[in-house]
Amino acid sequence: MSEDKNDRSELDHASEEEVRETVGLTEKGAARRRFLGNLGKGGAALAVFGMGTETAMQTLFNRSTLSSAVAAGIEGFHVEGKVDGIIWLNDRPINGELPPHLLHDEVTPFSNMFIRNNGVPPEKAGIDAAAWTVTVRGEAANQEKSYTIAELKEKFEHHTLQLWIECGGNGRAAFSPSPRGNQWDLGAIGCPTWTGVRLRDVLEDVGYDADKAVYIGYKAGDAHLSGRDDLDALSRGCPMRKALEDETIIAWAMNGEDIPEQHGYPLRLVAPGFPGSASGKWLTEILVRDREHDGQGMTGHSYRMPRHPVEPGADVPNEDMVVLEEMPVKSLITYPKTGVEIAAGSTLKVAGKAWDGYGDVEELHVSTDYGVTWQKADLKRPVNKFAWQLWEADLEFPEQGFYQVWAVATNSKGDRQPMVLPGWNPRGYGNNKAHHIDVRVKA
Amino acid sequence: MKSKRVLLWALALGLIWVAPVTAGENVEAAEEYETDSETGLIKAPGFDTVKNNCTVCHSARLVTNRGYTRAVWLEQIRWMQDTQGLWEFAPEVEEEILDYLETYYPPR
Repeated sequence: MSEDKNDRSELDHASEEEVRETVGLTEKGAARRRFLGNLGKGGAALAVFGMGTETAMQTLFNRSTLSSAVAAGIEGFHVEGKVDGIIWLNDRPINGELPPHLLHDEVTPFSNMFIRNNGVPPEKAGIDAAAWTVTVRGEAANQEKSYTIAELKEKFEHHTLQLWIECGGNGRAAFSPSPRGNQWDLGAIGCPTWTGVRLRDVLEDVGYDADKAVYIGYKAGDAHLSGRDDLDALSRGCPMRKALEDETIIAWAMNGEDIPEQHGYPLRLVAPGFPGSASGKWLTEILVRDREHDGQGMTGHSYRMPRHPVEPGADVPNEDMVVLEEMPVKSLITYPKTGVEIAAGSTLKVAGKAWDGYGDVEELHVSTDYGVTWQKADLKRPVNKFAWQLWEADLEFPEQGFYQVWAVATNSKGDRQPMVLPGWNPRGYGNNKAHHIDVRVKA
Repeated sequence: MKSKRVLLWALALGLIWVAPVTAGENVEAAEEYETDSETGLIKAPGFDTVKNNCTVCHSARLVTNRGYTRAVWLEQIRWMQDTQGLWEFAPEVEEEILDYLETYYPPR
């Protein structure tokens, strides 16, 4: 059970009694409340004492977006314009993913794009996009230089690319023991089009010392959850080799419109192939560093993998962790929805997406017999490098009964998705286990 | 500490006829208490301390939709204290929080 606990199909199959039992247990019995005055020290704690959570939040942040999210609670929580069926994992910070069948669009629309926030986004209504600037500086930059969005648009060549962004922790929920962090199942991935300028062009315009430059780090306009000004919600980046790639861009538009508030309005980085956290939202600064960037989310266990394989549950010292860079090859079956029923003798068209951190998926195979035999799917070339690739296959089933359809992608290096969970790691990154759906063939 | 002992007794009594699996223990332990409608947290001993200390910056979802060992919960607290601006806890407060989390939100 533990290995496959993230499989939606299993959830779908939970008996009604099981569901009732789980829900019912929270309602019965008497509560025994114990009052306690033992709060931790610190101004924030003092501010909370004697107040409801919402009041405390408003006091701490004085941000209307936050208080409204809090007031709504997760039950009634929703981000306007997002599709019904999005799975909200958290409302503070906002985190939501899609079930695979809601990722069937060729180009992911706003409504079906996952949200992974680490802090509190700046409110769109309060942003004067004309006055927004991104400043490039840092140890290896030749100068400090700022650009308005208008200047970026005027000065540099525009590029519109379809680029996927996947959270580094997508698939975390499957690992056991549970690594801490958002328990993402399968759908923290999306592939909209982005319009902007190459980061490389901007870095060259500023000028930097190529011998000294090792990494770029970003600073962003979102607030830390604690409300403290001295902490960044997230300040990650990527090595120069990634920063200088054709597809690493500073974007102002998503799907041809202003980037939505939750996705980085008015300006963001998109560094496809790397964990989504490298694609900083609400971009305000780019640091050209002479060392691996050490901002929020770069150190300790955050977005890092063990240098050597470890056993599940291992306590890995910080010095044995290295930054997670290219995401592993992966695919999803986005059509049909798991649990589909078909008539015996009919053909089932299955379809999905495939992507790889190095840019190209070479082949995709599907199996209806748990990997005994494989059928090659029709896999399209990407519309551009780092766009996800569409695939489809027509399947026939030998007789009535219950089947699972498994899909396995292979990248240009020959790396194939595993059908078992890849190696456990302390924070549960990089789970690219093959996805499957359930199919019932009726007599 | 006292609350933990009471809990363990309750658990032991309730568990004699229940399948000895972790999830079962969790269900039995949780069954005696209501769920707080505002946060979704189980209103067992330690609830107020957890709510007051853990939901100031982030929602209780970071507790309720997860399940970890005591060691991992402690690691999470230390990470928040070291890097995320969480205040230090008095030893008895930390103990109470960990007792609560370990009992009601164990690995699933």
